[in-house]
Amino acid sequence: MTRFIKLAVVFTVILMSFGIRAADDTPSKIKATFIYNFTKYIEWPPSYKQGNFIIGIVGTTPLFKDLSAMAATKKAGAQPFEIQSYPNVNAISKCHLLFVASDNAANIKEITGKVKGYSTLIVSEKPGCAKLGAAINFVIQENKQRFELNKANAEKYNLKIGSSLAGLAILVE
Amino acid sequence: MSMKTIRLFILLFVAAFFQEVHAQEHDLIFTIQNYLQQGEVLKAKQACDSAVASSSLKNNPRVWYLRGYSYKEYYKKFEASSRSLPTREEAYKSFTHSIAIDANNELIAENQKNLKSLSALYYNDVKAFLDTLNITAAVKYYGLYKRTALAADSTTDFSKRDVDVNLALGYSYLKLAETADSNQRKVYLEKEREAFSKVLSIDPNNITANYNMALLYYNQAVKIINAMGYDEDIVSLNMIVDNCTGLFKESLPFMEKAYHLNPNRRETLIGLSGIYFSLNEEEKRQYIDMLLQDLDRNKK
Repeated sequence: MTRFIKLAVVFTVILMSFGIRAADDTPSKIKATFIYNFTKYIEWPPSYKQGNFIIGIVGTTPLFKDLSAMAATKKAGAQPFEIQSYPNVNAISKCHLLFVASDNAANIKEITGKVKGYSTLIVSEKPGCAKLGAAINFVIQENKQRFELNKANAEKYNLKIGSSLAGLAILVE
Repeated sequence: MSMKTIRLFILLFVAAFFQEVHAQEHDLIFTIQNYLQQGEVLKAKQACDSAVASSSLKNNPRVWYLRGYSYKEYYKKFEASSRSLPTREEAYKSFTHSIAIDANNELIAENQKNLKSLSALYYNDVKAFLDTLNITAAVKYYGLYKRTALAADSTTDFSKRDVDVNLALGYSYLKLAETADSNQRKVYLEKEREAFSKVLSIDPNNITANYNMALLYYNQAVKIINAMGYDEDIVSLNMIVDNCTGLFKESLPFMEKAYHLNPNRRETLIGLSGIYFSLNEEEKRQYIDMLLQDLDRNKK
C-alpha cells in the first residue's frame, strides 16, 4: 500500500557563480584616491595654478586607468586634470605630479634631474625611493597601503605640504 | 422464566452485540482499505474522519494509520502543487498517534515508512522554496522535514542534509544581497556568513563553503572600495584601507584552505590570486598566477 519516495533531491544551485573579477584592481583605486588627496593637501606655486593640472606617468602601471577615471570627474581646485603617459625618462616634460611606476624606480635619480627646475611632485612606489628623490613614496605596511613623505624632497621643488597630510604620512628624511 | 435463563439470555445478547460491533468496525476498516485501493482518497479520508470520531475506533492504531495514509495520498493527488501544510500535518499527526497507541508495535514499520515518505515531501519543498529564494518557507519546511524524519527514525543523521541546505541557503542570501539596499544587504550577508559557518562547523573541509566564505569577505571589501569616490578624504581613506585590509585578511584563510583541499581548482586559484593582490602580496600573487597558467596549459 505504501510507496517509498526516495530522498532524491539535489540542490542544483551553482554555488560558484559569484567569483572574483580580474577587474577588481583595488590597490590602483586606493592609490588614485591618495593621489587626488595629494593635490588637495599640497600647494603648488601660483604659476602652476593655471591651465590643466598635469599628472605624468612614467613606466608601466595599471594606475593609468584609475587616474583617467578620476580625471574625468574631478578637478584640482579649478584646474581640470590631464593625464600624460611617458614611455621613457627622456619623454618626461613639465608636469605637476609625476608618478614613477615601479619598473622605472631604478631611474629615480635621472628622473629627478629631468624635472629639476619644475615644481613637480614626484610620487613613486618602490621601497627606498623617498630617500633617492621622491617626495612621496607608496609603501605597504602590514598589507596596508601607506605613504612615505620626504618633506625636503617636496620643498626642493617649491611645494608646500599641508600639516594634516604630513600627520598621516611616514616621515622620511 | 428462571433467573438462570434470564442470565443466559443477557449473555447471548451481549455477545451478539459485540460481534455486531466488531463486524461493523471490521467492515469500516475494510471499506477504507477498499477506497484506498481504488484511489478514492477523498472518500477514504472522510471515512477515516468518521472512524476516529467514533468511540469504538478512536483508539484503533490501524484506523489512525489508514487516516495518515489517506491524508498523505490526498495531498499528493490534489494539493502537491500548492505545497500547503494542513493535510500533511494531519497525516503526520495520524501516523505519530498510531505509533503512540500501537501497544504491540504491529504497525510501526508501516507508520515509519510513511513518515519517511512524508518527510521526503517536505524536503522536496525545501528545494523548491530555495529555488525561488523563499528562504523563510524553506527554513520552516526544513524544520518540518527534520521533525518528520526523526519521527520515522530517531537516529536519523542530518549532517549531510544540513550541509546541502546551508550551502543553498548561503547562496540564496548572497543572491538576495545582490539586489538589496545597504541595510538589508548587511542582514543578508550576515545570514550568508551564518549559513556557511554552519556548513564549516559540520564539515571543515567543505571546499564550497570555504571558497564562498572567502568570497563573502573579499567581495565586501571590494564593494566598499569600488563605492568609494576619488574625493574620499584622506582620513576616512585610511580608515577604509584599514577596514578593507581586515576583510581581505579574513578572506584569506578560507581561500587558502579551499586551495589546499584542491590545488587544481581554477576558481580557487583566481580567488587566491585576487586576495594576495588586494593584500599587496605581490610575490605570492605571482606564484599563484604561475600555477594558474600551468593549470590552463595542462588542460589544453
